Amino acid sequence: MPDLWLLTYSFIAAAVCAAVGCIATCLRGHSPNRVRASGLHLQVLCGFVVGIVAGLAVQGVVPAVPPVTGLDRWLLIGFPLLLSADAFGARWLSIPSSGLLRLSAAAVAAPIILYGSIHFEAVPAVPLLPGLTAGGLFTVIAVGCLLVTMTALNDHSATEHPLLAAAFVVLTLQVAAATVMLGGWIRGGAAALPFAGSCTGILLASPGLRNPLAAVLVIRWGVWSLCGVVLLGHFFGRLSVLQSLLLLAAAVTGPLLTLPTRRIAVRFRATIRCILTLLLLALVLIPAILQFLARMKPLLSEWSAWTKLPGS
Amino acid sequence: MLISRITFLTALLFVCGETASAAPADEYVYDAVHSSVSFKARHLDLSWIHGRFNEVDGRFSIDRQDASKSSFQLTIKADSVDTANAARDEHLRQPDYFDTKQFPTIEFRSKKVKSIEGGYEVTGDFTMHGVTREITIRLMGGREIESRGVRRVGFSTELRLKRSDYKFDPSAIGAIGDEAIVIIDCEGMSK
Repeated sequence: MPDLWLLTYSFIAAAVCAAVGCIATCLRGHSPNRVRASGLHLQVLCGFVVGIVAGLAVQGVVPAVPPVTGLDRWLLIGFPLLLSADAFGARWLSIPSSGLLRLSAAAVAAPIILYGSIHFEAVPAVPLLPGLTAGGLFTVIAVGCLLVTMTALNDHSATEHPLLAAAFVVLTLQVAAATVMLGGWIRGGAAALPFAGSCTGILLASPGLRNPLAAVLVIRWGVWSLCGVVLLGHFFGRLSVLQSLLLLAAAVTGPLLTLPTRRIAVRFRATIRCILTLLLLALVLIPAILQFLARMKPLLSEWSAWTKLPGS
Repeated sequence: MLISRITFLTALLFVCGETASAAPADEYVYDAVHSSVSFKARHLDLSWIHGRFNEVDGRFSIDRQDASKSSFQLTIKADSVDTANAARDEHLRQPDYFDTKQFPTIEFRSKKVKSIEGGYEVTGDFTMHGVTREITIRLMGGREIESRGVRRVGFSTELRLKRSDYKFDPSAIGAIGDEAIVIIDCEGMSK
């Protein structure tokens, strides 16, 4: 069973360190509203990374070097690659080029997560695509497309209600973490909480930054974090396809609503988004809790045995 | 001419002699019906939880004249873990324990075999959870019998492993003890 206090401390530590790190780096030189967007991007990124590291440290999560598990690869290669591509693009590239770089990094992250697992079986005999079976290739392409789509959708409409959208991404991330834990992979779900905590910390610090960019970045990084925990939970844990798709859909209800219904007033879109997101999350979380209780029943059989004792 | 004939005959005799003395080692395949790989681990340091792996494959090659030429291989499918509780088995397959999607098999490959009284002392690489460590086991048995046209050989061994040595999640080591005792009783079949 997970230590709920430890998970709470981990979340709070990530939030506090991210907020403090973010504000400290932003206020180090100039007033935040005088800093260029690319500079602010890097400063918020510093706070975000500090928060994640602090949260993982509280849990005692130390990825193996060289990475051997999916979680190790995500923490050490996949997620840093996405953040680096994002930071590089923001600093040195034009907006379209940086978007393209983000999409490319998202596509590359898929094989990194699955490498060496039964989903990506390595057979050294094949020189060009080392050992990728047809099924493995399909999985990698499908997951790559999914990550690219999620990134593109959020880039498309991140400017609409950024604070609300960011708050929903954080909520979805927490529900995903809980669902992975309820499915039986405690460490996998727990490792997602520092990401959620760090996003929360930046959101709390964003009024001090006086720049909407922070919320936009939280949406982008939060969606990547969510993709990571969902993919890991599905391919290595017990997150079903339906649960995974519902969680990912919950994170992109805003962009999905924006695509076909631009004519709906913005405030109505926000209301519909709230209802739709909460509904999707409830559809994931409630069955997961019920399944967990049903699965735990035989493991807690010693309690029911008391009632069957003669004379009890 | 005479010298070359003598040389040829000597060489022929030498080759024949070598062939006669180097009898091929007996090859056996793991008999899943009459074998088992089971384990037990402490629960709360009070009692033992027992389990087994239902899907195991293996090959042995036994040279009765020269034990060092023998070899033993065992491959256990980690997904087949069975502790008589489906919910617990499912948890054991997850990355908190065996991480069977990342590490689908547990393997032993012998590197050095030595004959001892009543069996063999086998040193080899044991790979579990992506970590390979050299271990030495005492395989007791080795007596061969023929039953219904099939030659059979049997071995038993018991080994103690620490999960922490194989980089299992430290937070999952607590209620269930770090040390696990693995009991292997296997029969090999040969035509």
